[in-house]
Amino acid sequence: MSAKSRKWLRFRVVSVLVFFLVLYVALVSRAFQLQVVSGETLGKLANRQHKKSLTLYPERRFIFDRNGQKLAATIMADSVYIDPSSVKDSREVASKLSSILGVERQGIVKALSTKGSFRWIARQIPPVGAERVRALNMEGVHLVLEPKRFYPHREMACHLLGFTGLDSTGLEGLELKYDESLKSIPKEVVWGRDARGHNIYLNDDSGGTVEDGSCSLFLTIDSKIQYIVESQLKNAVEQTGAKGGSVIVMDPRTGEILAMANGPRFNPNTFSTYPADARRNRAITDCFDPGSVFKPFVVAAALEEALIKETDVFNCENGSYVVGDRVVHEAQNEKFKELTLSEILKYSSNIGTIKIAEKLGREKFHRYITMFGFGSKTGVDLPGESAGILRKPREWQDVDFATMAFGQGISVTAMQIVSAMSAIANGGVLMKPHVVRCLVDKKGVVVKEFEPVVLRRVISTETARRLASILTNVVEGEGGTGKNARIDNLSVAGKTGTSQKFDFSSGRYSSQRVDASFIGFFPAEDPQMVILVVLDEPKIDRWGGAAAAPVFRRVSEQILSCSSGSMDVRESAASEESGEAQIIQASTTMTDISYQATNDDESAIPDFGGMSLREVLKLAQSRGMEVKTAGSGWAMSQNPAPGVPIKKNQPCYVLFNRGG
Amino acid sequence: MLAVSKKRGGLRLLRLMLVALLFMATALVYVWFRIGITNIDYRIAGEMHRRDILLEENRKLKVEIETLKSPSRIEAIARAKLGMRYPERDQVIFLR
Repeated sequence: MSAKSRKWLRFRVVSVLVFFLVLYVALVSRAFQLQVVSGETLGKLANRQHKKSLTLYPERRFIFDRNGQKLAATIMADSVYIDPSSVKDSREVASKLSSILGVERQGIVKALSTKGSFRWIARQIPPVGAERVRALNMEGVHLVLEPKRFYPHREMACHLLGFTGLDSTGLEGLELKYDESLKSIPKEVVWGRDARGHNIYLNDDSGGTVEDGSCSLFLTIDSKIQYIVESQLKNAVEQTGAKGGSVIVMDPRTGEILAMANGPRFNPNTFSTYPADARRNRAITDCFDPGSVFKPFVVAAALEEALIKETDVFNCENGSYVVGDRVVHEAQNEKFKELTLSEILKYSSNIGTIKIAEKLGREKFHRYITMFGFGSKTGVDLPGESAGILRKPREWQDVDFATMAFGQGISVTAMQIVSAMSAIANGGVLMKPHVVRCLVDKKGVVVKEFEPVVLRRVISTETARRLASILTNVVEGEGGTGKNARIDNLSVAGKTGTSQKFDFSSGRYSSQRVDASFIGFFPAEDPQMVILVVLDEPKIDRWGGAAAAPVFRRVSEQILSCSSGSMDVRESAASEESGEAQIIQASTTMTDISYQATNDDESAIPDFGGMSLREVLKLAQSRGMEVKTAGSGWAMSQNPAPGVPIKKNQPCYVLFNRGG
Repeated sequence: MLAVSKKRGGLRLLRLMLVALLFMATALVYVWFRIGITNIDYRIAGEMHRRDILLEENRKLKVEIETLKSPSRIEAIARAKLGMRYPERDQVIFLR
């Protein structure tokens, strides 16, 4: 190779090298500019193109009854929105959507004429409607899934459960009270997106696995009892022509509310279609003069103070008693001459009760009824509770004091009465009423358990026992006002009440508009349930003994039919005579139906329903039986069924559910 | 001398080609794996969507069970279809 050509070759090599070097420097500079100088901005732009973040709506947790029956759940429902800028034929879209969704056509036209790219047309529509909208396949009309609260039992326990708004926020009842516990945090999920807009899974947990701490509620309510109570109340309201009514069933030993019903009811799935009056939980919000159901508390106070005894005889003034400038009469113009303490309650004598209250004196009277919980909120875990109206003794006129003795001139809630009577049934100890048993997290772990809370001792056990005996005579004694509440084979203690309502237009108590009520508990010797029935302005059978007591009896009988497995039967003195009649005495709790429906029979497989794993294993061990478990949370089903005799080497399969 | 130098040059070129081939093969394998991973990501996305649909369906079915278990519905069927009624007081016998 000549020197010239070698020189030429070197020149070419160097030129190529310089070219690639310049190219390399240019590439590195560009890369530096893209990655470092504008890296952050471009990264964001790229993420916007390649990633799609989706906000998952907060899933509201469940509400269960004490047996694990679902009372409130969340489902996904379609909502319709439009993008006005993409809609081509506004008229067609408006008329088609209007006919499917039942929304006013003018409203849709108005929404279509607005600027912007998003307008709601209908929220949380039924699946059928959603399918029809989807089938339209119209440009600019979109469907999006939203969480919707659903109450599978419709009206059942509606006033207790309450309802939520479109944004899944509790607006009433337990939904409102436990809103913070029930609702979970919205979660962000990030998806990859390709050029065609298809989703790609991104192993990116930046959306976070945040523990939101939301919980499901397990109530003290027994849906079986709740159903019985509601259907009987509905029948009673229809039969008596009452404006409404309330029934509360409470376990006096724990303060657990087993059922709480009001009439009229509403369907919380469509709550907005009902008037506010139907949505009110009358049992805790409405105050009324209790009438004669208040008398036992006056008698309890006097007995406790040893001012009276059962054999004391009171002059009932032949039906007319002058107090101040007024004359007090007996109900139904009865004329009693002399009555014993027991008879005063049995025949519900107003004058006799006034005389007992006079023996007690204003201060003690006020102190005891305050201790029974009147004049203050019971503290039940429901929103909107009223405290009732109880004035100070110094504000009472003579006639006020007299009428308050028989339950007129004092305002109370149904919850206060049932709570106070529960104190008598519970040996004189007042318990705090509650409707939530526990909060359970997503994994089925009990986060918070609501134990029974003792508020105070109001009267002694002995006084409570004596009073229970007197109240048993009201129902079971010959001619007692509570005879319509009598139940074969069961000792019932109770008291009727009929109170006149205050007429604000005339400024006096009306003789036509009354509240009829009955409160009772059973078995009288070892009370396990206290039931209050209040009917608001019944038109037929206006007396508590005629209108409310039969409701108490029917409710009690049906509850007993459901829970007979937990009852022992013993022969009473009466049965020895007749050879037929029997008195049922509770040997175990009736309210723990789910736990111990057949659990008193050692040879039978117990009912594990609603128990935790620990409780199931403990009970199984005590019976010497083998259990096989699956799942976690609360026992939801079992095989063999409760009550089946235990066989050797036969395991019982128990399925647990976290309740979520 | 020239022959030895040519032979060495040929070997170096062969070695370079082998390295380049190895590099290409590695790159191809890497791309093949990436395509595979992307396909799996598509499938995962599809399955997750299916899972969400099934979970929602499952949830709706559970709610439907609760609706069907509603005491008012059962009572209506018991009364209307099966002709049942609540027992009278004397028909209920409590067993010890």
